[in-house]
Amino acid sequence: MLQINNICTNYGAIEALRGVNLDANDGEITCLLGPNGAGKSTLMMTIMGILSPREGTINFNGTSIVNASSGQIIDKGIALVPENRLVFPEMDVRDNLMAGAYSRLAKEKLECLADIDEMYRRFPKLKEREKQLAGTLSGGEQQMLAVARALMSKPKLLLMDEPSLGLAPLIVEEIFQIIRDLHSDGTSILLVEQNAHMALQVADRFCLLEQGRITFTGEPGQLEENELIKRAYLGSS
Amino acid sequence: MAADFIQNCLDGLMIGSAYSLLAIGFTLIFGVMRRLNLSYGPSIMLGAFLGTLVYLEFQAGNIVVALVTVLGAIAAGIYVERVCFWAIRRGAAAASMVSSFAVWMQLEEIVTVFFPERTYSFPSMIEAEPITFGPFFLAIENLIMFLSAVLLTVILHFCLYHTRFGLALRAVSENPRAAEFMGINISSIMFWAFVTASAFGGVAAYLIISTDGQVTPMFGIWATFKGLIAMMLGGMGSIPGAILGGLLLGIIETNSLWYLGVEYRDLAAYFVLFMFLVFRPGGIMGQVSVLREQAATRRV
Repeated sequence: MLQINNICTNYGAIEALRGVNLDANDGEITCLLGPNGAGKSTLMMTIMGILSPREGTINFNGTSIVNASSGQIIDKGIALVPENRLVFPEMDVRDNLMAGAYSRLAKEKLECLADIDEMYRRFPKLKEREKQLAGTLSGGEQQMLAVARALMSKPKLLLMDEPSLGLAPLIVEEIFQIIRDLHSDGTSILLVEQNAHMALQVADRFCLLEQGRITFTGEPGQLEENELIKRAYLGSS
Repeated sequence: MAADFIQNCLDGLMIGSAYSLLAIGFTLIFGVMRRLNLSYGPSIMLGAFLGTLVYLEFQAGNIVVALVTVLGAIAAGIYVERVCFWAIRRGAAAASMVSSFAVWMQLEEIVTVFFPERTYSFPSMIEAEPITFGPFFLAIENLIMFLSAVLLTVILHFCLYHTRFGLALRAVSENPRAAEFMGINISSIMFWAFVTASAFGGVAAYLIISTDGQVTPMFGIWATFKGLIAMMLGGMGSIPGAILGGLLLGIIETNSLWYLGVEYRDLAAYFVLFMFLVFRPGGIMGQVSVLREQAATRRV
């Protein structure tokens, strides 16, 4: 579905990605693990067309999306749940969802309105908070809103950048339940996480990004076997 | 005494509504770009001089003069946007401010070269007796100014809250990065924000100058000052703040003019601004959004 080949991206003066190869398959949850500063968010921004890679190709369902604008990439069916959620704090929940559907709002406004109701069915809490400003929601609710907002563009592939960051364990559990539900509905997901324990429970495949390169690709079972990785990401037990 | 005060406030609301339009233009640009456009006043002044040109050379009617003023302001605004903002959008915010100062000088020079006589007459909107009710009276052109400002504000509110462009504009002003993730083309939203702001400035310029009956190159700096002060009183980046700030500035000016004399009019406005900066730096509305942001981050 998504093929990333030898992507090199600079973030300012820093060579953040140095030849990343990564595939995300249809219907799977691909998990990208890696420490702070490994280049995970840079990779997300490169896929979304915010940063242009210096080298390499990104293909989505067979067509190249390198140098496409973020609007074109969203139209092709990729959406991002950004790190730190980045909801629009002074807009109410409904307008946040509308903003998520921005790329198709001009053509199919009625469908968008129907999809908002669909999101409310899926996330009843958002319905309760419909008229509240997003900045007044709790962290977990904001994360839920960020996911729903991304889903409003009807993505085939959902990128999620550290959805559990800064949330209480109980809320993290809730967010991962949402991820499982999306997966069973057939959405392909590329999940960036530092919470390896949780991520490996849901992932079909995982990759390790370290210092701008993919250093390991495999299935969750293999990670458990690999002593080195186990010690680094799952604790030494 | 009370009647004087009420009359002053009425007059203040009328002129203040034009200040509100100027402040809305400023705040639209500041809200979307987080950058200050110092040549906002001079660019709408250029529009006003084009308006006076078609009036003096071709004896154009009011509607044509108004249209030329607004379109001229928009054209000058686009020029400012391309040179001071779009071209250096990746540079520091201060670079935009400094270059907008340079363009300010440039526009003023252009006007003084082509219009060497400094003061030019400008057609007034309407010749009519003021409306009186009881002890109070209202000049017709002031009433038109006020009603036009209200109408424009209502239209802007509709556009911001009920159109796709408005949604995108609010998204960009709240979080440009997140807006980009939604597929919103930030450069194009900034461009259209500039066009909208310049249109507001052009209308404000037409309303103010046609009431005065004359235009000078000093209108540019005057408009920048009034708009900037009104925006800062209300809270930078807030549209309700811009409206309230403009009306407050108008009321302060007319009252200080009446009670203290003309030499204290601007001083009183600066004094109130100073007090705001000391005791409520966020302006009338600004503080609210700061508090909200703090509340939002605390809940994470």
